[in-house]
Amino acid sequence: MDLLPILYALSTNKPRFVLTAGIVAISLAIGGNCVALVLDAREKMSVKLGFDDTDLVVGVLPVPKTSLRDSMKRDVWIRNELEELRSLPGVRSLSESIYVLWNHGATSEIRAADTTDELFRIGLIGGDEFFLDTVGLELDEGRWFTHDEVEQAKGVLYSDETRARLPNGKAREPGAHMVVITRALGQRLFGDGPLLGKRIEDQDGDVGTIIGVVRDFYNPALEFAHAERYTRFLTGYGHNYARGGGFIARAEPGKADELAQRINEWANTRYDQSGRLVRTAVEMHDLYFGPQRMLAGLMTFLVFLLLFITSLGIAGITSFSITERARHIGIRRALGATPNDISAYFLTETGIITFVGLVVGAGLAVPLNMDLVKFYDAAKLSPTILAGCAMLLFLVSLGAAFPAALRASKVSPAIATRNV
Amino acid sequence: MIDMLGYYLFLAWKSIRRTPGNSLVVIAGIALGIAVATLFSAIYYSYAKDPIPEKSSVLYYVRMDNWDPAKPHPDGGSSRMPPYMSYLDVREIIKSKIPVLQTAAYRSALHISAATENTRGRLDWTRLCHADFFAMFGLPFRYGSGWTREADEKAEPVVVIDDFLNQRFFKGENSVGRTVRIEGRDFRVIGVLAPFRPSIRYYDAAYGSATVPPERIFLSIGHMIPMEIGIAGAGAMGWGSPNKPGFMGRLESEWNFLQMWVELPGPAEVAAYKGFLDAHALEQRRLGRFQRPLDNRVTPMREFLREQNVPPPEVAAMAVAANLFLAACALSLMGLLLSRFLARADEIDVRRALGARRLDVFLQHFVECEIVALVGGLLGLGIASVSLWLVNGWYKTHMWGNRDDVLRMDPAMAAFALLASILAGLLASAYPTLRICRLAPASNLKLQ
Repeated sequence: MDLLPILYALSTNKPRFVLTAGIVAISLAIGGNCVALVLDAREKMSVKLGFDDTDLVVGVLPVPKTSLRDSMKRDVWIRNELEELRSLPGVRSLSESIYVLWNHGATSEIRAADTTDELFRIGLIGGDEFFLDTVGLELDEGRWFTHDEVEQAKGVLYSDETRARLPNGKAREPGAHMVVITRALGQRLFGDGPLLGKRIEDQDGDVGTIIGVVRDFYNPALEFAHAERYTRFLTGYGHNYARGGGFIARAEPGKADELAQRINEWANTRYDQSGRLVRTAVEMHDLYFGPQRMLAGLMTFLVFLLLFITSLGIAGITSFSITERARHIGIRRALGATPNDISAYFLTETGIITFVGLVVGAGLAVPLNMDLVKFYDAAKLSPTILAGCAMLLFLVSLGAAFPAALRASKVSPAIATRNV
Repeated sequence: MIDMLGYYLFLAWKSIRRTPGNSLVVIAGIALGIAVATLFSAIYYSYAKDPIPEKSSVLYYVRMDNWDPAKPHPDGGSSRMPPYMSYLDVREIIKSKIPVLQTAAYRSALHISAATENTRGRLDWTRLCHADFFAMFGLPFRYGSGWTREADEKAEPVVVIDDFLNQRFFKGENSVGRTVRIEGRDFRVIGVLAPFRPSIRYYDAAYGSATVPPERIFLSIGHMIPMEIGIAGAGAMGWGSPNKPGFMGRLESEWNFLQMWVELPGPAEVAAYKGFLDAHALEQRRLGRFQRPLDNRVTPMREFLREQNVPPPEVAAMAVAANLFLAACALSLMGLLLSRFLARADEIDVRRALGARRLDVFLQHFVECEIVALVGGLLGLGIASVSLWLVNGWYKTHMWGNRDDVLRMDPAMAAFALLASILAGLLASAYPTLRICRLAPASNLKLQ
């Protein structure tokens, strides 16, 4: 097909040309950025914790401090409550732990023992002997804590009240406890190679010996300290019960919701408490990513609306331009153009205009994206996303022009003879 | 010209009736654009609105960098300084006479029950704060009032409870003077709040907790030490080791957990207070603390909220995209308006030939477009309000805070919707209207 007549026609009808290209350009600029935001949110949400958390529920027993200020009494009370929970139907295993999936922010600072390396911040998670299996972590090396180790550590190693301290704040007798760390943390401390038996030191001067290494564990809540993959696991609860008795339970496969409901009902008969005692890990994930989920959902919807409105606009303008040029079409038909020639003419015209609009749109999308990134911390727009969106818009644009082009092909040659 | 307005309205009505399909699509297009733009703007505005216009310009958030000399605070935000203050510092700077009002505050969870009940009680969110807190942040009282500064010093057993707890324990009656038990101790109710559910918990918005509802129990911070009430909120962090064991050891270490707010009436007081903080830090430096470069900040409330991502950046980005979407809608409707107008070129020709000026033709079509746009705008506002209600429902189950009243359709947003629809109408109709009134008189008549 000869492009020259089309280009000439375009040059004589600039407003229509500018309008269509403008619609396409602005759609690409907005749409490209929306898609970039959605993809970024989806990527953030696809983070994995390093274990299968679909069947887990987490909660904290509201320890009644009133009557149980005495820590011994409190321990007994909590242990009894947890035993009862453990015996509920549907509980596959249950571990006493303060680990709050997706939302766990306890930190500490450590370095390799007997060095003057700089202390750096890591995550801290305490769990009893059931923790590894309940959570579903995999060990790379060594072993997890035993029941005796957990009992021994309780209320002694970590309790502020029982630690005698030197005037400089360091513990008088550094506790020599056993620790499990993540592989990533081990690598940062000691490089590659076996980690068992290596020793670490925390900010209080306490030294721990590595007895186990967890293959993969990710804690998104520590992003702020760049410590997502650096976690140290402690024997038992890791602290006193002042904040309540945390626990984590694994339900039978696919039954986490059911178990959560059962535990909440159990809790409602015991505590005067509005709200829920436990949440499923999936709920925790959704809450953690609430803003991202909202963004992804609403922006996806917006992209579809944008495609719809863009095709409406292009269809409207093409249809108008065909009505306006009915006589021209008639003349061409009278001079021998086939209906297919006419359709092809209008589709080619739309294609050319859309292409120009896409080029301009790409030019707009990039500075808009730079502003969004700068002011709103938005996602960067990659060339791939831009190209993909442009391709989609091109197809949508041709599709929108198609019905009008078909109508143009049906214009009768006789029109040319009228209205002279 | 005004006398013609009625006639133009009549013509517009006739035109809309003559082309119902085209009119419907244009109205729907505007409604869609307005609905999207208004919805996202309303979400944004729910966060960005000045939460307390009469006070926000005089309230300041106080921070001091008491962190580890070896490295800055790990907070990923732009500030790189501790968001909270240590007890060691608050204990001293609270003595300053420069602020008109001031309070330190933190969040905890305590057990509360009616004095007559012999139960464990319910665990409820509690704010520990100084007496000035209520006046500074304009909390509404239904009965009674807050406590006095004297009560802070003496740790008087008085408490302010919210409307919910007053319903729960006292059936909504005036309970001032009655007793509740908190952690096994008797407290006299001194004030009951009226229902108080701001979209943004503007006095504590750190760590993404802005949409969490206000606490149910308000207790003097004077009880912190005698009752050993620890923090149960996000982000408390310290460095180094305590010098003493136990609760006091923690408090008297570089352990940051207190929010500090001051009310300063003018720039002179802000400068004076900043000087006071610097002097305090330098004095502490002589004692071995504050070894980092001097960095003490007195941040205006709204600036601090923005620093804490209120409104969240993704909400702001969505609002920008949604308003551009409205522009895309307006542009897309231009083609439809063009065909709508040019379909009656012959009629315009007659009017022009009979002496109508270009301005008359322009006004006629302009009025028509604006009517269509306003109808679309009202429709869009309705859709946006319903959508906002739906998003609120989603918030209740998918966002922290468990509440469905965070997002609100402010009157300002309704006004925005109508103004935006007028502008969108203008944008969509500008070219078609100009085009139609440029037609030479009688050019189309020949063709009949």
